[in-house]
Amino acid sequence: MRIAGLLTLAACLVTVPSREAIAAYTRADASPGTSGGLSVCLSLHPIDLASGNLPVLPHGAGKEWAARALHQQQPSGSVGAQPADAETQAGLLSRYRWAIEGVVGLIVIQAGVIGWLLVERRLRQRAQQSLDDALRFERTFGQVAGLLAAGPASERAVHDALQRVAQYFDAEHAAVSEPATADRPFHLAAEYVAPGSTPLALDAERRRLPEVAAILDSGGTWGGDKGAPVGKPGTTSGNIGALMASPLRAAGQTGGALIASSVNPHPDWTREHERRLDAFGEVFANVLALRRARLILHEHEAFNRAVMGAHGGEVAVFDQSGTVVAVNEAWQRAADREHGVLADAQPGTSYAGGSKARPGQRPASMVSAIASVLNGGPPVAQADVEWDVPQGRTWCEVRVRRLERPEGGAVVSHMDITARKRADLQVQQHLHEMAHLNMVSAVGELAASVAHELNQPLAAVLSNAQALRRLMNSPSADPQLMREILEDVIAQNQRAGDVIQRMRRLLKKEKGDWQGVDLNQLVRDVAHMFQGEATLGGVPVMIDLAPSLPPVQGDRVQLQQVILNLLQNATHAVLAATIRDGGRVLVSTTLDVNGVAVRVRDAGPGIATDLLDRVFDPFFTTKRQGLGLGLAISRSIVELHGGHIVARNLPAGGAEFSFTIPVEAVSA
Amino acid sequence: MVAMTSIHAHIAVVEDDAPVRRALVRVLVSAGFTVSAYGSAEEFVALTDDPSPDCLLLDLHLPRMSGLELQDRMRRVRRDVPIVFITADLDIARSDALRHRGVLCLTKPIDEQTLMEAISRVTSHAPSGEA
Repeated sequence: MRIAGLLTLAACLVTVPSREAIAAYTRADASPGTSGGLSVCLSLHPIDLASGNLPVLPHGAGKEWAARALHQQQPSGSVGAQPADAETQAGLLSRYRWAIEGVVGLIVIQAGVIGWLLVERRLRQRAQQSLDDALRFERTFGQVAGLLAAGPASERAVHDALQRVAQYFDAEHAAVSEPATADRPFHLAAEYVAPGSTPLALDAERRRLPEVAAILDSGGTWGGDKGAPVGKPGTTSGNIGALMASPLRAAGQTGGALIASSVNPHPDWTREHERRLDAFGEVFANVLALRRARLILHEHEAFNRAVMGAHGGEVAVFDQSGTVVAVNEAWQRAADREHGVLADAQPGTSYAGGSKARPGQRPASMVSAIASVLNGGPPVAQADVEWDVPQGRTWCEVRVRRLERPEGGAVVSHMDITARKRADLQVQQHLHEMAHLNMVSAVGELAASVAHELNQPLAAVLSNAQALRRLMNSPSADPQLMREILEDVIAQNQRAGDVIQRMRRLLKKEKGDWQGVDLNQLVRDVAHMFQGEATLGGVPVMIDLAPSLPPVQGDRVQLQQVILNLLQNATHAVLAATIRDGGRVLVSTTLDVNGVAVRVRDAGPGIATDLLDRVFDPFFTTKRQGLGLGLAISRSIVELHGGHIVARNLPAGGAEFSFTIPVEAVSA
Repeated sequence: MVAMTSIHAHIAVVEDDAPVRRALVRVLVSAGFTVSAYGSAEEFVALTDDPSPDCLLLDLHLPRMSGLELQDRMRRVRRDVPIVFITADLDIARSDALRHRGVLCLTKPIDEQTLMEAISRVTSHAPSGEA
């Protein structure tokens, strides 16, 4: 304000154009008649500026006074041209006219300057105020942004930022609402309440808030001077006098609002304040969006962790280079173990490279399955691998699935299937033992059959020989008869030899080495050996063989066992059926694209449809006697030979069991 | 069918295996029996007339009608002919089914002495002749 006084003085100096004016000013100052007005003016300036209470002369009055002074000056000027001796007063007046005129002029000029200064001062004041306010906003905005940026996820930071906002708007409340729903237009996610105030009583305004929500939803800002404040004077309910709200927009989405609320129904809020609330709102929106995104991310992470953790096996995520980037607990445990295929497959290491201590430790099939998925092969790969650990053999099922994302990678899971494999092997082992028993039994059947087959020619040979012996003692022996008897003995001997030959063919086995087996010959031998015997219950067996078959590679005795098992089942089925003429079994062979097929058909009752897929299960049986292993063993033998065995019912009645053994392509 | 006369007992042989049947007939004939031979149970039923043979040498395992079935059938028509069963299957010869029937069963190959003893046991006719 002192500066203003000095400026006024400077203005006076500038305004006074000549040395004479300064002199007049000095003299006027000395003269008692005129000194009052001027000195008051000069002394008033600093005081007024300091107090801010301006005893401003009405502009019109000032002008009028100045004009009157000028008017008095005009006649004096014209009088001054002529000398006037008569009146001393008049003479005095005319003598000092120029001085009076000068003083009045100065006063007029000074009044103008004062008016200009007052206007200027007010403008300056306003500019200063708005500058201060802008600075205050800038400062608050910086604080809010800083708080939220430093701790976007922290409730504390949001609360503190709201406090700054409330203080900036001179409001008792500042709050962030969540996206409006039908039954809850405003639900506060965070709120600041000024000390001594009560929390925002939004419930009391429930009726009016939907309007506000609607405006916010359409992207508008609800402001104090843009329609009625939420709480009108006199109708104020709760503690809301006025309320401003700015919708929170982030990433093009509107959700929730930043609210400032004052207990005072008429706060000094302008459109500028609205815009500033919008600016704050933007910061909050971005931070809250970030917070929401982080929450979702956290949820996803928790979800992924739970999924990976819940998996019984070992799970890891690989990046495109095959480096382990994330693992579940099971994997981590396995990687920490000293033994095992995953040892040292720690996060951050290359999986395929194996550990430094044991390079190339991972089984090749695992590594290649992963490489294939990573390098654009099928999106899913699987490999069963086995290896030896000190505790014994271990099996593992490895599954690889490509990560469908731009940067690539894969998810790998290991499932320890050792227990399952061991159980499988045990069952296999048991089945093999049973198969052996079955074979022993088949050989036993064969032996019984061979005994029968051999006893017939032996009986003929013995009786013939004994008859011949008697004849030789008789003098009347007929040489012709004796020759016939000898011929029969030779023939029956030959017959016995054939039986042994056939038995040898059935039992012939090159140890550990498969041989070419003619399935036609095998069917013929088995059917002939057991034809009509007790083994087959006396049921006639018809055979219908393909004209010529390529040999299949296999174990003759085992394949014979299969044929015998099927024949036995078929004859039992025929015997179980109502006895009717023509009850018989038909065995046929054919050559098709899959190899040599052997079909055994019976005219029995067939197999119940729901049991069809169980007949090959071990211990499945419909017979009162028997273990139910014949078909299970047969299947295991057929599968060992690379073939398959199926059962079906025939449309005309009865069942058909058939097995196919592939014919190996002759390779060089 | 082979038939030879004998002043002694008349034996009928029912056996489907021709070489075995021929050999049995030869040994019985050489022992002095009168022998008639048949290839099946049906053939025996159809062709045999009175007087009944003194003894039947009957194979257990015959096509269609088995030896035991023939025995049942003969009992039903009260042709009570003594029977010696024969079989190539040792298991059947020793089976409970036969033991319960109280029948005599010989296992092939059959020694002539065993055969003669069995026949004489069931017929109480001691075979006589050159032997």
